Amino acid sequence: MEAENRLFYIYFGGVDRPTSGKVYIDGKDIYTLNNDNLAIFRRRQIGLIYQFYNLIPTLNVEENITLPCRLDGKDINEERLKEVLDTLGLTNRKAHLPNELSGGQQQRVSIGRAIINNPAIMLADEPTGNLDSKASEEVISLLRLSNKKFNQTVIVITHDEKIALEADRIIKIGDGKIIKDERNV
Amino acid sequence: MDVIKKLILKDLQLNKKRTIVTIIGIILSTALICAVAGMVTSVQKTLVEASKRDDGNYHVTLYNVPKDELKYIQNNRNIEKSYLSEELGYSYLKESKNEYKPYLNIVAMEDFQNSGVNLVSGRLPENSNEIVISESILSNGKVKYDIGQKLALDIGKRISNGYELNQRDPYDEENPERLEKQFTKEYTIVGIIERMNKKVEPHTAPGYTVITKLEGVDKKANISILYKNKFKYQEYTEQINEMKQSDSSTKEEDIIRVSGMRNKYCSQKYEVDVNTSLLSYEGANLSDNTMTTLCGVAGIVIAIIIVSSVFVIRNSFAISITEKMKQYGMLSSIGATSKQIKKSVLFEGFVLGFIAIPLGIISGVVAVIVLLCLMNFILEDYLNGIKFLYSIPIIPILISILLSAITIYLSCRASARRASKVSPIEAIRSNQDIKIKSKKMRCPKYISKVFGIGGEISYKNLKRNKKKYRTTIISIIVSVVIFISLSTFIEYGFKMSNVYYTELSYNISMYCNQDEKDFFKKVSKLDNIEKYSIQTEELIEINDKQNKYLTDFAKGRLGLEYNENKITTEILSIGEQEYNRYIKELGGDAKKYEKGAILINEGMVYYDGKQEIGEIYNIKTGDSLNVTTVEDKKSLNVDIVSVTNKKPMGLETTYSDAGFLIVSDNFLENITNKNTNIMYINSTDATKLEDDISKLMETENISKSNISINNIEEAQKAQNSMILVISIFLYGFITVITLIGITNIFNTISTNMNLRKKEFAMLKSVGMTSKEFKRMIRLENIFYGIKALIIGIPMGIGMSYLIYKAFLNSLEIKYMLPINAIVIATVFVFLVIGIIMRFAVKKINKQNIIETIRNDNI
Repeated sequence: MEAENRLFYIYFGGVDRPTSGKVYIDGKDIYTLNNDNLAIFRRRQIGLIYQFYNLIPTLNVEENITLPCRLDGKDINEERLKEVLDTLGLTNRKAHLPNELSGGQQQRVSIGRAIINNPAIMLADEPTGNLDSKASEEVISLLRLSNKKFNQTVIVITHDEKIALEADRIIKIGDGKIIKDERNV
Repeated sequence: MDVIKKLILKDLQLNKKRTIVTIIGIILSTALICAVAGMVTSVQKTLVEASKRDDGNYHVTLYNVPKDELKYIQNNRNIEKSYLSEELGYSYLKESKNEYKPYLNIVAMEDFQNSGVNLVSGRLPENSNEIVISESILSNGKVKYDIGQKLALDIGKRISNGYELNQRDPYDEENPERLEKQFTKEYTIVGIIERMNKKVEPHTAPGYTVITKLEGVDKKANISILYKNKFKYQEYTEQINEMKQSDSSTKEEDIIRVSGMRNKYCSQKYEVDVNTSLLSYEGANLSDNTMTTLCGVAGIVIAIIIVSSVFVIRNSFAISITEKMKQYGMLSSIGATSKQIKKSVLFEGFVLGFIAIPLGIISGVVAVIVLLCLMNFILEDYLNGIKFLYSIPIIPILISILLSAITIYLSCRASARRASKVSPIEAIRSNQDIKIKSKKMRCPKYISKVFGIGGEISYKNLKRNKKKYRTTIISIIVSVVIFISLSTFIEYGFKMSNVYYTELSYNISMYCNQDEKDFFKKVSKLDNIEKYSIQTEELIEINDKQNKYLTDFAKGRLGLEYNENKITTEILSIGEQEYNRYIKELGGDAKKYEKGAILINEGMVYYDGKQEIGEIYNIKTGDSLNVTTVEDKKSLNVDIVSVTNKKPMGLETTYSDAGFLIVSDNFLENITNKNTNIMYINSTDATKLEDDISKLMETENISKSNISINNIEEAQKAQNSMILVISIFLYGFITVITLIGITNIFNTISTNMNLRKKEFAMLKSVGMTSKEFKRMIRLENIFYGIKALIIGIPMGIGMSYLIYKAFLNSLEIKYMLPINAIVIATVFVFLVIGIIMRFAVKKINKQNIIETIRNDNI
């Protein structure tokens, strides 16, 4: 897979280990943590959104969204869940299985999963790659909402210039190196 | 080659593991069918050869056919071979020590080999002046003749009351007979043969067999016939022997019944005898239980194998198709027609079958050879020289090839149809796998509470692929049920052997047909005897004028009736030594007991399949019975000194409907002269003792035909060896069926894991730790196992109960849950599933999370 994307995940996701160098999140050098602690860190502090949703097909919308909390063994914060469902417009779909939802709805579920734990960082890998223009717009506006309402850092990888222009800061990567890093006003 | 075919072959090569597993599944099923069929044909061949050797290679024998009529039979078009023989007559064997066998019976035969003649030493006769003699002349009659010796015999007919007697008429002192001399001839002994079979020399035959070569028929001869078509032997015989069937007008006394012939006849030309043993073993006379049982068992077994193999092969192909859904979608999207895709699936089936079936056949054949060698080795001592022969089962091999091929074809066709229907985009997206309704995905609350989200996911995973899991779970269930049933069967089999034999307090018993009291006394002085009992028995009648002695149990269950107010029962003495021990055991006083009799008052009957035990008589200690001896009609009064259900040595497993009266030796001697003819011995070295007794019999000049020695220990060892062999078969069978099941499970589970790669990677990326992940997999493993065992174990218990009931007729035991088998099955199931899952997951753990998630993209 493209080197750029891999870097992305390493730096921000703690999902893959770098061959050299360090990554600090929230003041912590995350690669000093062992695999288990890294996983727990991921669960609480990072929200991941992929291009192909990757929902668990046997769990319904509500269960897929609350997956990170339940991995923690914590009780589900019903208020928080309601808030997320409302924000995503999935309230009347909360008992449906993924194969009963449209592409856009599935992506929204995966966004819900990413934000339910109020993580510090949200990583979105080509989130609109699989959606039509209307759904794409919805998703991007949700991400912005998340950023503003829940004060989260949202990092999006995309090849779509249009989507990139919606961001506050654009980092252009080419051939494994950072080419440009500028503020977008 | 066709590009699609190339693709398939490449795919098979790349997915070596899956390919190998499928091939192994096919090999196992083919091998199993082949092996079972091979065993059946081999056992049949062994039995057939043994029968030909002992009884002769012919189907029927016609007796006393006049010389001129012989050629009509010999030239009959339905006959393959025929052998002539002639009974020349009897000659006195003056030195014979066996008073019931005072003769030599001289027979002339045309063909020795096919008549069941087996040479021990020397050679066979080449002309009518040479003879071979039966070895029993020396071993039984104690007359020693040497090879080369010349015998001048006066040969004649046995006549009694004007009738001619033959080997089927025993020598009876009360039926005076004389030998009417016909001619004299001098013979040279050229060889010694084994004692002839029961048709030529029945057990009670009065003459030892002496055989010479038939050079020309005198007046009449016996002709033994081998038909071309053994299945039509009855039809041919009826025709040749002009046998007319009887009808309602035939009088009862004129009806002719011949063993081995299905009809009743009112007339026949010659006396005929059918060689039922050979015909049964060859399958032409299926009234023999052995053949039917054998076929029945083989049938059930093959049915089980076929069902299992169909599962495995079907599953394997279904799985391989599922894995390649994407590929088929891709092929379809670039323009492959559904026909081409169907063909490619069938091609895959053909390739796998082509490799696997021959290997399966070879494995099956090898397995049978190994098993037969094993059987010959274990049962060597007990088979009396019979060796299991191997016969290559051509027809079964062809059938199993056909069966496997058909199964593969049918499995492929179903999968092929599915593959060809795949719409390209759906396949690539691989969404269509999940067709579940949210209702079915409901999960019991306790599972999420106790096991967490991991448990919930595992539980739901089981529900989502119901069909695929069903076949796997069914194959686990089948293995579990078979294992529990067969273990029970084997356990009860061994018990039956043990229970009967260990309940006996003796390991050698001797029965004779005359009084051997002195001999028995001598035997009792030999070494290695722990305890013994010498028994004399007589029948007596108890006079019960008021009809008050018999209990309801006796009248109702045992069916005892008064015969003119008398009940017949047995009175026995058991030898002084045993009598004293017995009385002590009953806690009695020797002086008091010697004056009366001990009544054994327990009767047993099988009613409705259950064993019922009860009292026979309403007689109490102190009662006095008036009895009459049956033989001498002596009348006396007997005091009953004890009423018990404890039995003395030798009688423990016997039940007499009318009970026993046990008395001291003196008591019985005073009232009757009956023969002392039974002895029971408990020995510390049964084999050596048996040897010593035989030697003693020789020195005392007692013929072997007068006393029969039974070595129970040997019998038990033989039975245990037999059970051991059967166990090897059964467990071997279970192992293979289980292996087939494991193949199935392996395929299903590893594929399923593979297909969920992305899911797993996602869970890990969302933050599931390795430990939690492993736990989730372990839970799925447990759920899987539990589901199968919940059905399998009760079914297994049910089967074992049925087997218990079948054994109830021969065993007096309580039903016990087959706990051992259940535990082993449970452990094994979880172990197998666990190992397979762990193995599949290891591969997944190693992969890079992100690579996996982003992989599989178009």
